[in-house]
Amino acid sequence: MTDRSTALQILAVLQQSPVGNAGVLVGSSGLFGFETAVPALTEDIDIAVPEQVVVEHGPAIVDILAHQGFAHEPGTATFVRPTSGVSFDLLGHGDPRDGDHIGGAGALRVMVFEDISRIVGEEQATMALPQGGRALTPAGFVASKLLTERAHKGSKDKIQALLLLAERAADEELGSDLLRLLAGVDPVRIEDLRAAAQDAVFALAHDPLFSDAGAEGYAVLATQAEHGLTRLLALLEKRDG
Amino acid sequence: MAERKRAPTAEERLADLHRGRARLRRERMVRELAGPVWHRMVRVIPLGFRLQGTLTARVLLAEPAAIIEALRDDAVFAVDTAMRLTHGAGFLSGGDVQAYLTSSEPLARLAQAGLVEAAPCRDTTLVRPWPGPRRLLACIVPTLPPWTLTREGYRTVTAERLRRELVGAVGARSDLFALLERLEEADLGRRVRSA
Repeated sequence: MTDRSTALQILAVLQQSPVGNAGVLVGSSGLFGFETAVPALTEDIDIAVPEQVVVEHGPAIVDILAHQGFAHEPGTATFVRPTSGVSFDLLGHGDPRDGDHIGGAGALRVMVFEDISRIVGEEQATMALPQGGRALTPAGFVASKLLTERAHKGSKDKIQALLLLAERAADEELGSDLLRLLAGVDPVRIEDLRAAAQDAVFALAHDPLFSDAGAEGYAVLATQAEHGLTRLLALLEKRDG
Repeated sequence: MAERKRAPTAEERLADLHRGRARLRRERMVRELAGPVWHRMVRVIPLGFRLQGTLTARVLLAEPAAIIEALRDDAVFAVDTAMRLTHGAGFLSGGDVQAYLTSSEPLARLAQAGLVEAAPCRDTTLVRPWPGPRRLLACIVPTLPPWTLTREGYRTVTAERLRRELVGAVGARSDLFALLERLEEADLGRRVRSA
């Protein structure tokens, strides 16, 4: 299982490339950016980088990472260090008005998600790490996981968000930052995430042997997930006025 | 070292996103058809009956009504049984009895009286998509949950908890949630008329 030190090492490697300090830990590896007991349950590290950097310096990024021992998997945005099996994926972020699209050309092409672009573009959503590079804040992490739309592992995303909300129950700044991040989101998507969060808690409550891909071991955390959902629903009621 | 799964290309990531969006579009249609009840339903915190304590099952050797009567002084009835006792109709079709108990002593008593099998039933699945004998599903808890009394004097979980147990049992089923709401309204109407 990938851990925090590996994630920070990769950010350090990226600092030697044209990405510099602009790489942001996102996805489940966003949990490596701050203190938390919520498990990342991921083998991959996702790092969002400015789309423009990929467009202008894609081949140079691939070359420099190769010199650092990370082989580029052709046709993907994945880099693997064969000696350790450590791997990471680059994603792009840019202007959210451009929507979801593929950025870059040639050697390095990255998926640019509209939601990640919107969240990473918000001041309260990311923070600089002492070792260099950036990570999502807890509020940025929760917002990104709640807004993630994917057919597989969707429950895992929501449960991680709910567990963090529960773990930081006394952190009022997290609640207010989350509301700010969700302020511009279409109301229909707020209903989507409300339903998806409830469904994730249902999945845990319904079957302790919950076996959503990548989410093993979560059943014991059902109560925390329930507390997280209670907090989320209260925050959304506040948002709705 | 375990073999790595091939990493997805940018195109595959985009295609996965589109699949997720397509699923969401279908879910939104279902939501639109369900109307306001859907919005009330997704504001309910699901409560998993089996997670409240230690769940144990016994195959019934008598009609559910006899089991319910035999547990009158011990149990707080839950889930489908609570809905049937409170409103006269339920939302599950298996014919099981769900109840909270504070010990397994009543189970031994029922077994001795020939109302349930003495040995536990291994199948404790609450909503069973396969056929099987009717069961008593007893959740042994340290303290009984808050209850209300039915007209016949049975203790059932409160209305708020029943809504949570329904969503915890079947998920976001707006048809079943609407059924519960309609039955609640009808009961309220009857109480108002008789007052």
